[in-house]
Amino acid sequence: MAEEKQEKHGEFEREPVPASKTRGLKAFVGMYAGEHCAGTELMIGPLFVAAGVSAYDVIFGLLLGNLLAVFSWMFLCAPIAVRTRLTLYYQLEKICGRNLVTLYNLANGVMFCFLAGSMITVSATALGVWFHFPMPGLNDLYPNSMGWVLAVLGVGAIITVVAALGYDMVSKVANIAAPWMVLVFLGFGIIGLRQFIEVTGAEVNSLSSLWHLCTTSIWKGGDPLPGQIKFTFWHVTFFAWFCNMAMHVGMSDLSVFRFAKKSWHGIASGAGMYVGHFMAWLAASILYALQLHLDPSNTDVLPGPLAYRAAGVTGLICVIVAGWTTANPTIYRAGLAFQAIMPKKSRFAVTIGTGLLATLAGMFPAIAMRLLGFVALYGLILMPMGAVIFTDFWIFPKLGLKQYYAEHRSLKINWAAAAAWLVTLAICVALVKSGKPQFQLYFVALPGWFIASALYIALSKLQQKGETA
Amino acid sequence: MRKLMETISYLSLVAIVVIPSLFYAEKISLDMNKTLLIVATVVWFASALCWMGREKES
Repeated sequence: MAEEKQEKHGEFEREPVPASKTRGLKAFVGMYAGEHCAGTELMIGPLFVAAGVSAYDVIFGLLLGNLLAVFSWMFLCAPIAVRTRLTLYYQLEKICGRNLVTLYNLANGVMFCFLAGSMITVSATALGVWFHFPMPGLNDLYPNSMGWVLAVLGVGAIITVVAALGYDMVSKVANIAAPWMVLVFLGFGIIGLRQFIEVTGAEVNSLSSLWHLCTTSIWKGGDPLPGQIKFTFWHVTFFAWFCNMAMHVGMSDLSVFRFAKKSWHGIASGAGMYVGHFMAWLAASILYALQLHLDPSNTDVLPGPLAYRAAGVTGLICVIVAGWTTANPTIYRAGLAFQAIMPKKSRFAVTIGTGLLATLAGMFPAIAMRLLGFVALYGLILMPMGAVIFTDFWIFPKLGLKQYYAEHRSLKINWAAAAAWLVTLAICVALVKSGKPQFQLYFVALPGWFIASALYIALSKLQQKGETA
Repeated sequence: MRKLMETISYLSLVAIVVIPSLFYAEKISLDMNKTLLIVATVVWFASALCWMGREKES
């Protein structure tokens, strides 16, 4: 009965997923491959080139960084997910109290809005090819033409209304588009490579000659473009590892892997990493490197024109669909996060408001053009709560500390967890502001995780002094 | 009918990879590559809509 009741709401939001509802590896492979081949991949690949990556750094950095991301899903997130089988939000509520979860939802919702905004930006660049309005450049922060504003508004309005009506239809289109989209991304890479061979006159008939073309023409290394940060091997590695930090180290995907039969099913994330965050990033970066090779003064990172030059109308459809199908669930999720804060407002109204906020964000190219930094910031902000969950689950029983303290003491807010989150963020911001290269935004989340864990343990010891577990 | 649509869908997906490969091998021009890609795309969406996400007939 309880199961039937939960099924109506669909997601077993406040009870463990029963064994009968768990799923095998295959279900997660398809989901991750589709979800991580998104519109934003068409921005990230080119931004690597703009950051002056070399061929060795980008290829081996991505191989290592994506492997570390898969390990984070397999060994940090999935083991807790299959043991508790609870959503992230319910688990957080038990540890941190309802009020702190509300704050977490607010932070999560706002970050989702900006992310959806950058996806709308990507889709709008495809309209620029058809309607020929001026589009933003690499270093533009504000909208630069009325045509751009109207394009983003049009795309954002459609996405918002569809998300508010419930995204069953979009979900269906997304499922159908996913395998096609992955292969079109692969096609971008193959076409871009051929065009590179033609314009450079290179002869590619072996792996070594291909590598020579990669190192001398595609990912040449050297200085970044003006206004960009230089990316080394370690930047690429850490970016690939942490760009989904909110989901693995930050434990958002507890909500996904609570349905997994085994914790090793976390390996399914590899499908998303090596298809979306390896092949798709490299393919998109080849198209941008070709643009720079043909006209070094054209530094614009505009997925629409890039895709159109390689694959014509198919490329434009791919850009629109990639942005649309990923912006929609993102707006929907942001809406759910905000609705948790305002439960009396209808989901329709909240999603419309959320979509408008995302559309407004999408008008400002600063977010999409600074996507590397934004994604790193997104992971950093939500990471400390992942450390709190990890510590509470694995370390607390060994130290004789009480798990799920907020639930145990009926607290609205667990101040130890709140302080661990906010103090960690303050320390990380201070480290970034110090300007030391080892504490750049892309790296600081690693020491941050240990800081958050240590703070939560120390503060919980103080908080639980005199109590027994 | 479903089997036929599934076969057409999978063939169109194969085409999405084969067409750029033919361009890479200099067997077709860039314009031909773009034309064939849009044909394969239309075929994929039209055929996949007929069976993907629908229950299999018993």
